[in-house]
Amino acid sequence: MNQLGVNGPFLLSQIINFIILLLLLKRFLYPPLMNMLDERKQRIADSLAAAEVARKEAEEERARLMAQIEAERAEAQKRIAEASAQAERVRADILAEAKREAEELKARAIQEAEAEKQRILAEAHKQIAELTVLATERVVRHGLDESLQHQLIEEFLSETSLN
Amino acid sequence: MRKLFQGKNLVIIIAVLAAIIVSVLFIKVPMPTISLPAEKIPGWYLFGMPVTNTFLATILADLTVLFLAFLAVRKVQEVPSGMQNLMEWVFETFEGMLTDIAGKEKARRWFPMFMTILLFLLFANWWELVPGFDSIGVFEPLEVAYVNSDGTIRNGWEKGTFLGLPSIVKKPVVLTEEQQARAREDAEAYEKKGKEYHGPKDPELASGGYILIPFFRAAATDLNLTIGLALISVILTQIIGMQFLGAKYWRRFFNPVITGSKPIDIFVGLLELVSEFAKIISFSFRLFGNIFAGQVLLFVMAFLLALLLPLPFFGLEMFVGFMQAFVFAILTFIFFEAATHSHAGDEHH
Repeated sequence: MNQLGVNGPFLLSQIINFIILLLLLKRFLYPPLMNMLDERKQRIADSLAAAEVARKEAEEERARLMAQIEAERAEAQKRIAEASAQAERVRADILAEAKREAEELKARAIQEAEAEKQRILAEAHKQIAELTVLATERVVRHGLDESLQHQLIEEFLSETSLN
Repeated sequence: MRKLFQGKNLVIIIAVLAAIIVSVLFIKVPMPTISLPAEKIPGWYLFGMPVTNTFLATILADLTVLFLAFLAVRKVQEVPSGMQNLMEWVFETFEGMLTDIAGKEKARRWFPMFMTILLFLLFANWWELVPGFDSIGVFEPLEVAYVNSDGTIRNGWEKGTFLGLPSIVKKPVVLTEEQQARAREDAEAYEKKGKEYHGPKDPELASGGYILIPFFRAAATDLNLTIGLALISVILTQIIGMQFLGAKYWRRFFNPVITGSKPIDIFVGLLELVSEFAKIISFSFRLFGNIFAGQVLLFVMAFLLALLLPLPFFGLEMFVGFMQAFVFAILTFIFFEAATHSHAGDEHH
């Protein structure tokens, strides 16, 4: 053992040295750091749990808001659809009204034209009749010969064509 | 391949070659005197006890650990930084590992022991790699020429200078034929008397050579340290065994037939007892052997080629230094854990 350098006092000094080091570190190094590690671990666990709760709440809130937005959108969609249907209906009404009025106007115009035609025809008849009477009177007054007859007819015709 | 001899690579290659040439031609590293026992520093005494260089290295490792501990706990913060951060990371990692082995409660309980061994041995081993360690010291004149068992003469080195600093140079002192013959005679005379030969006492045979006694030498290259730690570890294992199992703990080793045990139990108990003592040996010599071998390896590499060659071995020794510290600590922990179970599992060697 002597050749290996093993020697009581040296051995003892090494043992004492290590024990002193162990006690010093056990007193000053390990407790504060290990406590700090534990505390931090606890704190991290706590804040993770809190974060989880907050996340869940946010998730719920989001779902709620989404549902609300969805509902509002559906509502708006419905309203737009209604409005456009109504507009369509109004347009159709207006068109129909316009068509009806146009038809009416046209019919009245035709009717008036017809009436005017009838009136003019009646007037013409009346004048013809009067002229005929006049012509007849003239014939009757002057007597009738052949040349006169022709003359009269010519006259009559030119008169009537004048009218 | 084409780019191998261009630019940066070329510079590196030339630098390497230059380093090799310089170290071969100009830097002659003497082979240090390798001795198993720690060298006593001449003229230094503490409480009447000579001071060895390994003891100084032990104190240095202590101070390193305590300094780092001081940095770590100087102001403990919720948000850690610097040394506190590093220490916490180390603690957390290893505590997790211990928890895997022995569960939370025991891991907490024995963590200080584990961590102290680890930190202390780690720095004790790593200090060896610091330049100046193992190479700065005092010159000790060799009073005698040693005669090796094969009859060759071993002696000291001449004193010289290197880069202006006093240094031992790679030139052993040469004894005259006459001196050598007398040294051999002396050795034979000792051998006949059956005494251990430590060199001739005749002052005329003083070689005049010198050896360097470094102030620091890796602490674990001293068996006093490793055996001391092994004793602490094994004795604490017994104490823990008794704490957890009470008197029943001793049934592990002693199973007399009166208690109704089978003969095989007696034999197993005997093996357990022997292995308990073997633990001291394996603990102490594993650490000692690895670190001592590492130190010699670094010496030899520097001796062969002073520059560059030792470099990869420094890396290796860093790993070995950590590994041995870790192995010592974790085995201690595992033995503690094993001592708490009444039926011991396999031995972990």
